[in-house]
Amino acid sequence: MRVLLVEDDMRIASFVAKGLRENAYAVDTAKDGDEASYMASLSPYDIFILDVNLPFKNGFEVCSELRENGNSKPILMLTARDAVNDRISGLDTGADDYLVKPFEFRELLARLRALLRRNTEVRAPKICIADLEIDTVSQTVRRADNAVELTTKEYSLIEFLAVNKGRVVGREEISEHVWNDGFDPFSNLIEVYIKRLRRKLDDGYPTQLIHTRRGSGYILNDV
Amino acid sequence: MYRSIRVKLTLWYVCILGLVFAALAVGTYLVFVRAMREETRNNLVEMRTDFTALVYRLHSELPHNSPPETPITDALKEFNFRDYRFAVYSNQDQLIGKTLDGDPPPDSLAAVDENRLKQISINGERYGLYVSPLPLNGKMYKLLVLYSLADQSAVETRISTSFLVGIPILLILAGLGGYLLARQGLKPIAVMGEQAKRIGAKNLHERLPIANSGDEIGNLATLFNQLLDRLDQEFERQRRFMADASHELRTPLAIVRGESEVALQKEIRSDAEYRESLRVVNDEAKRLSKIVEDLFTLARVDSGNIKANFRELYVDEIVDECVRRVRTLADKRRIDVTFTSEELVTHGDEALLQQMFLNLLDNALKYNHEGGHISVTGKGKSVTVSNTGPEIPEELKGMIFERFYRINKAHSRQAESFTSGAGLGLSIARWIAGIHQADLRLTRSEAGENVFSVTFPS
Repeated sequence: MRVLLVEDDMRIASFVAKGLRENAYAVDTAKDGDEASYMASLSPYDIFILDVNLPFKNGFEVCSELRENGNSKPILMLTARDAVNDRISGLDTGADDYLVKPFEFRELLARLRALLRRNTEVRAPKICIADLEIDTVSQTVRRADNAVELTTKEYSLIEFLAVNKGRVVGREEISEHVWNDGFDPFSNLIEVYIKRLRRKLDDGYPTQLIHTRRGSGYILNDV
Repeated sequence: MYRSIRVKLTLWYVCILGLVFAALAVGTYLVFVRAMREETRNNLVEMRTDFTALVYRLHSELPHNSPPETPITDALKEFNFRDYRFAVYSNQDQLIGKTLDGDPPPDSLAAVDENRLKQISINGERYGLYVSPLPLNGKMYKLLVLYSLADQSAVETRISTSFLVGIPILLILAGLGGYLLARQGLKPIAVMGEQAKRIGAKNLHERLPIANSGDEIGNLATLFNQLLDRLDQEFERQRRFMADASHELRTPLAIVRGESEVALQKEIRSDAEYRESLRVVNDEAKRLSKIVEDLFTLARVDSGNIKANFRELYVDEIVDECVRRVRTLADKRRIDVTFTSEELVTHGDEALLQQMFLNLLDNALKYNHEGGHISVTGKGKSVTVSNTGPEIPEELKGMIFERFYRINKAHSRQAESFTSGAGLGLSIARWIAGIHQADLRLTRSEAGENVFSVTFPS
């Protein structure tokens, strides 16, 4: 899942980005409101984390601008102000959730998961395809009741395929949601990761779950 | 009950009115009594004259051999009035004749004095007595004319009774009226009181009703409302300060908690990663304690509870010491610091002045660019600190001394410094200048240079 983190305080942005990356999110950061608007217009982020006090354009403004441009992805506001009025105006400008600093990092993760679930067809924290089971809370994967060890990136990829199960997802879509801005579109990174996932999840099982649709992309299903 | 102004006013009013009534009553009574006595005397004198004339007439009509007292006794027989009594005594106080039941007291005979009215009591009845000499046939007699004062006494009693009954009734009525008037007059105060009772910290923006802005009570309500305005503003200022303070404290707290939590979420990390996280946590903890210290200073400033230890000192020495302390930080960013000063003696607190110059130098360092310079100059009674760096926009010049104000907050937090970066440095510096009667101001901000100056009183 791809996140745009908008935070002017570098020290906060740094640990939030680090923590999110370690939890299988692809994170880009923006330092001010203008940069946030620009980046949101370039890439299809799955979720936004917005600080309220930002230079040039504050979080509320960025939020209402995103909504005006037809962006319906979840927005979580993050701020040190806990006045009720601030929370209300945050939610009224189109934010989906509000978290006050200082916060428990696990709570931020849980809220992001909840917001992301709300936005997809799959509403259960566990996604199952045939005997493949993906737990989005503990970020663990089991195939036929055997635990499968995956790296963070591998997990991000299988989770993205699982959320879109039964639908062909293209290379570009994968790169946009699983990788952040640093992704090199000419690399064969996706193929490498798909190959690794196949080795870990499909090899040795009677049904193949990860399929390649030549020229269009990949699909996860049990047909 | 007795503390209420209504009751007090009424009581005073009744007391004063009572005194006035009493004086009036006593005066009236005395004037009346005097007038009646005057009239009684005149009547008595007239009676005496008539009686004497009759005695002389009878005397001249009687034959010469009749007893000498006969005209007197005859006259006494003729003078038979309801209210007047007569008695005639010889010069030796021997009763010649009388129309009186009972005897006048012996001492009353002594007063053979014209024009004097005497009051006596015979058999429990009061009389007005007028004694006058009556010469007859070469002998002197004493004529006593008495006038019964029973009617007069009745009138006097009636007057005094009506005063004694009437005045209290009047006073009670006046008291009631006064009480009602006072209550009516003080009603706006009661209404104000009710409203004042409802105003607290939560609804400090509410105001007292002003019934009639022209009178004293309306004026009082206006004054109270002005007081509430000032309190409201001060309260709002404090509230904003609290909000700003908690905001400033929250950010480093969020970093300490978040950084450590993220560091701990993975079982194993490299030493370098742990070291980096600890460095971040340590930096923020340091910043937190600086903010807390600054807030503490400001709280003491606000409560006026700061003990300055004033003595004669050399400001140039203090500045020199401060410049030396910021040099290491300046060197790291290749910022050149120069210092020249004349001798500057003032009366001040060393620790506070040091803090003021450190804050100014810190500011000059923070809003500077890599390879820039700071020059500190002491001349006469002023010390100027000028630094290269972005100019302060005209509209923000007034704001920089405000608490928690920062032109670029991300910038002020990043640079390593002596202060919290919470936007309190200049505000504290200005306060310190203030208690030294010194003037701290931004004197110039143009051409990539900012100049602050402190001028001590001469």
